[in-house]
Amino acid sequence: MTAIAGPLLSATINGVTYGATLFLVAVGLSLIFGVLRVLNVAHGSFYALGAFTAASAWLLISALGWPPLCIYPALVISALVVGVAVGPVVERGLLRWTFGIEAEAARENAQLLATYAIFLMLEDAQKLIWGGQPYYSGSALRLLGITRINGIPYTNYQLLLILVAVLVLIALRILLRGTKMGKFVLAVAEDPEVSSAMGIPVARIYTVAFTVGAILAALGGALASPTIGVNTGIGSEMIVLSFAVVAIAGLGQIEGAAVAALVIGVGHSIAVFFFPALSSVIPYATMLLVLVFKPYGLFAAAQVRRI
Amino acid sequence: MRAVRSLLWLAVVGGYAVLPWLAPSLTYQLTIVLALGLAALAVSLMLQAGLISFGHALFYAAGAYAAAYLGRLTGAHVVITLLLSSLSAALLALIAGLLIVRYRGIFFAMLNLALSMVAYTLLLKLYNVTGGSDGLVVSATGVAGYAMGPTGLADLLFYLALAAAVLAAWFVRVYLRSPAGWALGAIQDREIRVEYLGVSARRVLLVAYVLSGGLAGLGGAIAGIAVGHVAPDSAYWTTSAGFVVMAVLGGGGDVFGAFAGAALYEMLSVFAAQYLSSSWELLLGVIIFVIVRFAPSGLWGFYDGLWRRMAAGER
Amino acid sequence: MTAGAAALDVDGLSVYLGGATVVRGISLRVDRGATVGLLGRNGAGKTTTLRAVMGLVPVCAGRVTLLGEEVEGEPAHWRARRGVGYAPEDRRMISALTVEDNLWLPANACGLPHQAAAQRLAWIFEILPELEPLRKRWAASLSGGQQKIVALGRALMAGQELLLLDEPFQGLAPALARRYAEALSQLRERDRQVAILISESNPALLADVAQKTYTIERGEIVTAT
Ligand SMILES: Nc1ncnc2c1ncn2[C@@H]1O[C@H](COP(=O)(O)OP(=O)(O)OP(=O)(O)O)[C@@H](O)[C@H]1O
Ligand SMILES: [Mg+2]
Repeated sequence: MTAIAGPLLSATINGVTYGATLFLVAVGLSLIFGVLRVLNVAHGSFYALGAFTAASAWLLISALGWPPLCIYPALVISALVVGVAVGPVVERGLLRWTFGIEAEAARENAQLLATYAIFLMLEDAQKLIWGGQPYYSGSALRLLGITRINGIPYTNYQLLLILVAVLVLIALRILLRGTKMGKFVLAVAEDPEVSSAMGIPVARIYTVAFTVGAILAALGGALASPTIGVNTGIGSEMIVLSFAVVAIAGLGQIEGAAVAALVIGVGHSIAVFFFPALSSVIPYATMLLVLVFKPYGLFAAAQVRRI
Repeated sequence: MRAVRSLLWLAVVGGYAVLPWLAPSLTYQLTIVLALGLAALAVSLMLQAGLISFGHALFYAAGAYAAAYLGRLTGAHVVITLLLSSLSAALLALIAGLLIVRYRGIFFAMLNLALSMVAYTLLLKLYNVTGGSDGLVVSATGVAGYAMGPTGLADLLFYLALAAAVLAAWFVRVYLRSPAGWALGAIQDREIRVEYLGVSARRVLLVAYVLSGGLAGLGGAIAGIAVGHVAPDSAYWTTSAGFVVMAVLGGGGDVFGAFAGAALYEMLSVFAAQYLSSSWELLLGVIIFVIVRFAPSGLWGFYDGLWRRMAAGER
Repeated sequence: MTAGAAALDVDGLSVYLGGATVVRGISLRVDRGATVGLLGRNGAGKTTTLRAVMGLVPVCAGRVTLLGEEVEGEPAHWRARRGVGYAPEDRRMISALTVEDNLWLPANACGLPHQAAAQRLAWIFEILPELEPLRKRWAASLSGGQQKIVALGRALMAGQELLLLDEPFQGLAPALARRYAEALSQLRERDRQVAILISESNPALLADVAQKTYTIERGEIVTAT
């Protein structure tokens, strides 16, 4: 019994950590979808940009000889910089025109293609800026020391990651339900037209929500950067994973995304222990399974069919 | 005018057919364009119903892997390999389609994506069956056991691909003008009205989806034989997205658009690989964006508009 | 803002929607503090007219003047901040929020200071006392009739100058409809100078509340009384 329980606990902790990153990225995607009704194919690129920027920040801190602990605020700042620099430009400059397309199918398709085009541009932008080689900032991982659980060492950084995800979840809930701006966002997500008739500047709310979504993706990337090799291609992988999380939860769901990210994270890590070859199938297989029984995700209400 | 346009088609196909004579070194590229065009045609068939698939690489890869397995059976003739590979992909599309045709819009796009990613991971991880990340060698023999040299096979494959492309284009055209094809186009914005007519939208979509899977599989098999090799990357979601881009570049409006889009895509990629090795995606991204933004009907729309203006001038 | 100008002056307004001109060159005027009816059958173009005044649909010809200021091309939220309130036909509560939050939204969005907003809310509770006990309820949990009242209250939060009410009596039980009409007449009596434009398909319901009625048919004003 204990022979199984040890690895299981370990897999669960690793899975929760993985799920935490996944949640940060996916909740950004879900927020953007919930408010703007855009499925942002370029979302994985925001994750990658966050990771690259954070890796550069680590190099810079080492080069300047600053105390290594500076990396932790630098991770968050990297995410903010990426989100604020890229989010509004993409939303205002490249996506806004699609909101005027009347027919729903044509609008969705234009948005899928436009965000895919943005994804391609950002992929190459990464190569142009950071070159083709991978970046490792793994030493940032060990700065906080390790904790032994059941004799197995975990970096405290991993545990910090979980804490950050929980804090983001709580903060989002408080911001959305408890502040004026959050209530504007909820109103626009539900009914942009009535919102504007009540005096809410809908276009501004779109930019805010998109930027916050981009910051969350970049934060996922920045926080994950010490735990992975930051390389081109991490964005294209993350976008499909976060799609899977969002689809399992139901588009636009926030707490649901946390549950789905956890399920995928833990499922993935457990599979790594027991059937390593199949572990990467877990997110997609889970998504397929959920959508077969709940076509709009676990936590979403059914949509009305178009007439 | 119609006669002129039909003649022009003949000229285009005829011109394409003699290209390998004029420039033998291009035969491979010309075959690949046809293979990609078939996959793009498959995607644009679903676009007729307003559905974007970000997962058609699944069927493309299925065709290529099927060709690889068939090649291992001694004496598998290239024509038979192509037919059987396409059929296997269509069969896979039938199984997947039973689930997928229940979805529309974003969910259709995402489910296709998920399925293809499952396939991609399996291709990557089931090393014993699929060769893992190394992939498999794809070989095919020539006419009736008659051993052909590599250039002979390349030429044969090119003409088979051209014949397949012309047949597929003709077939899709006829299909789109049949009642089933009309119903497919109507699903985009009047789905419930289609059902009032007693037609099952899901069945219409399933037929299109199976046809579409078969076309993509055919393209994959041709490409696999032309390259002589297939790897899991052929099932990755960016490959699927490439097909969508070709279909959109060409303009979903007609079967020819898909091939024009594939040709343009391949030309761009060859050009970019030569002159801007590291910013090819950047260029492609900009082009896609400009087309979606300013010319949503693509190359086909441009061409069709030209003819319309000429027809209007005549009157 | 021009002193003495009408609350709303519509001149030759046309709206083109989905391949047809659904509002064709209509003109109407709502004076300060006046209640004006817009009477028409289903599909006549009432909703479209109100939406065009609010800035929710693009106008293809004509002019809309709010409080003496021409508002061509200004977005809906700009108009709301000038004191125009809109209660749509189908209520459209924000179901993720409570009744109180729904009521606060326009005040916050229009940048009203907290003090003034609280005063305005108190004033609305005076006119619509049935709202007070609903404050903490989720908007989605209310009955259709209750939602209509909340929609009126919400429109009043922004609409201190002009209220656009789209078929407010539709679906209200007779007793509630009388209460609604009474609340509207109270608005006038309190000398707040709120102008009201009400669309309606039943002339009998307008008779009690409107001083002037325009009749709209197939997108054109046919009579004004
Ligand atoms: N978005 C749209 N696209 C196309 N046509 C529209 C659109 N909105 C309204 N119409 C048409 O414009 C006309 C006027 O519609 P409108 O909603 O203004 O009528 P109404 O007087 O409010 O009717 P009701 O009493 O049913 O609410 C109708 O014929 C309607 O079909
Ligand atoms: Mg109406």
